[in-house]
Amino acid sequence: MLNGPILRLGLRSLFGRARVWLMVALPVIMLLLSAVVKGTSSGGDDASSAEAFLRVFGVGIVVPVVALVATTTLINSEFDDGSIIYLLTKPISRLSIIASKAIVVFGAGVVFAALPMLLAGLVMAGGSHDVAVAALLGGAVSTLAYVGIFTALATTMKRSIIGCLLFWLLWESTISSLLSPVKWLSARAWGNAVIQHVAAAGDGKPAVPLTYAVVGALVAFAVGIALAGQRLASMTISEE
Amino acid sequence: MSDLMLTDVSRWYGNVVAVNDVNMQIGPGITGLLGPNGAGKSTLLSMMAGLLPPSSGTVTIDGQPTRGNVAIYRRIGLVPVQESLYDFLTGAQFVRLNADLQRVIQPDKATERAIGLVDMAGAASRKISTYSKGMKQRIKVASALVHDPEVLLLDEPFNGMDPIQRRHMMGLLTHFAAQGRTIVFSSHILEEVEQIARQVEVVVAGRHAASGDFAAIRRLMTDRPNQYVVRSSDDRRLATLLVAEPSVRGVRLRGGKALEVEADDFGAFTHAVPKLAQENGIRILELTPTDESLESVFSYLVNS
Repeated sequence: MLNGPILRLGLRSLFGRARVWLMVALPVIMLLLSAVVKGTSSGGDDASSAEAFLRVFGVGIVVPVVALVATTTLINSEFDDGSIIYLLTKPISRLSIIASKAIVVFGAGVVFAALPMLLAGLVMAGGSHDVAVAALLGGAVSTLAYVGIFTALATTMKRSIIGCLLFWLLWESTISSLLSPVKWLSARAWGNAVIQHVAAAGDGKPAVPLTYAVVGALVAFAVGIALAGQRLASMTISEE
Repeated sequence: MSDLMLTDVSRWYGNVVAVNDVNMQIGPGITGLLGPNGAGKSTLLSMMAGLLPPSSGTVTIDGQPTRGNVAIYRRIGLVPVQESLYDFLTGAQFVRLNADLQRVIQPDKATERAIGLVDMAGAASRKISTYSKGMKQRIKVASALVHDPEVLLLDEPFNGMDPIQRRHMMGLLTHFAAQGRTIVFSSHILEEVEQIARQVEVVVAGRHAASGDFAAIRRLMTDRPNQYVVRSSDDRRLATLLVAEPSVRGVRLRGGKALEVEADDFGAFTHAVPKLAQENGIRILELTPTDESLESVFSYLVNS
């Protein structure tokens, strides 16, 4: 199912270029901010403010931006400049090509979003109330869902980068806060719900059940890859 | 020994017909796909490589369809025209990637061999982003050769190469053809095709205009009469001068405003007209081939 050479190529493409700093920048900012929040808080409820910070900044910004940068690097730009042709003219199933890429994108999300969220959680709340672990899990679940959605958008839309951006800004950031039922179909809401379920801090009630959030993210990931694989199989490349 | 077959192949985009009812049987050896830019050569190559489904008709290699059949890529090497590569890799890494993707048994050896074939050993450890156009072209060819394909498809392979690189590449393709491989390359330059192609397929405006060995195509191009309209500062005098030319078969005054000329030796005729005009102080105001048929397009090809 996964293809070794494509995984290695993806890692090189993401981590072996200057572009990697784009993905490093945000988690670094998050860690700095978390230290500032910790330093300025006047001994109140650390765990609760850490949990809120990680949901707003971690799941709200770091996760989608890292997923977006990684997806556009590995998928959109290879389609746009045509270098994908070197993968498409090999005896490798289309599903395997896209699944390998999506796994690398997910890995980038774990390294540059979920793990830094764990660190930020430790900085702000230490080990209390499982906030740090909750942040790691919430970040990973949210990343999983975003990768599935962005992968599908990247392969089916013409101006796919704008499509992914609009999805994040309109659907996840705006509409979901206006219309409550959107929480059932929101990568952000699922990540937040995981954090709220796992962390024993904060006073907000999780929007969706824990199982629903995890299964939803897994389904989004799998369906996104399946759609993208299908799209790749019917894709046409011509140079005129 | 592989046969590439195109049967009743058409491809259209909306209302635009890019390739119109093409039939070809391409066997081992070098076949040149010759035609002006925009004639549908790339579309044809994309369909041969299975990257584009024909709107109707079939493309097969030894009976197996090239579309929707990823296993066929073990047998095909494609050198696309576009320059985008994974240019953060070194040349050697890129060729090795292709070897790995093809699951070549000894990828190290195959990589080294392919790089040696295109004479890139010296630059193989440099990043592709530092390569010149000709070097990129050669590393692309190495990546297409690394799995030892039976069928090699090249889209405008000589673009961007200097004469030495070009000769080297031509030698390489000839060498591969001698091993019994089926090689198809596209070009809009007659001389390139003339130098190495055993078989020539001419594509003009999406149609398969002619097919044959080079001598046959050359004969088609030069021996058939071409029609021209000529306007000059002194049509009547130019007419008398033209009639004396051996390449001219007939001249007619058209309403005193222009000449209609029929000539059968394109090369001689196009040399004669400016020479005559200059020697006799006649200004040529217009010289237009009026024949939209094959011959006028051939003359375009000869010219470009």
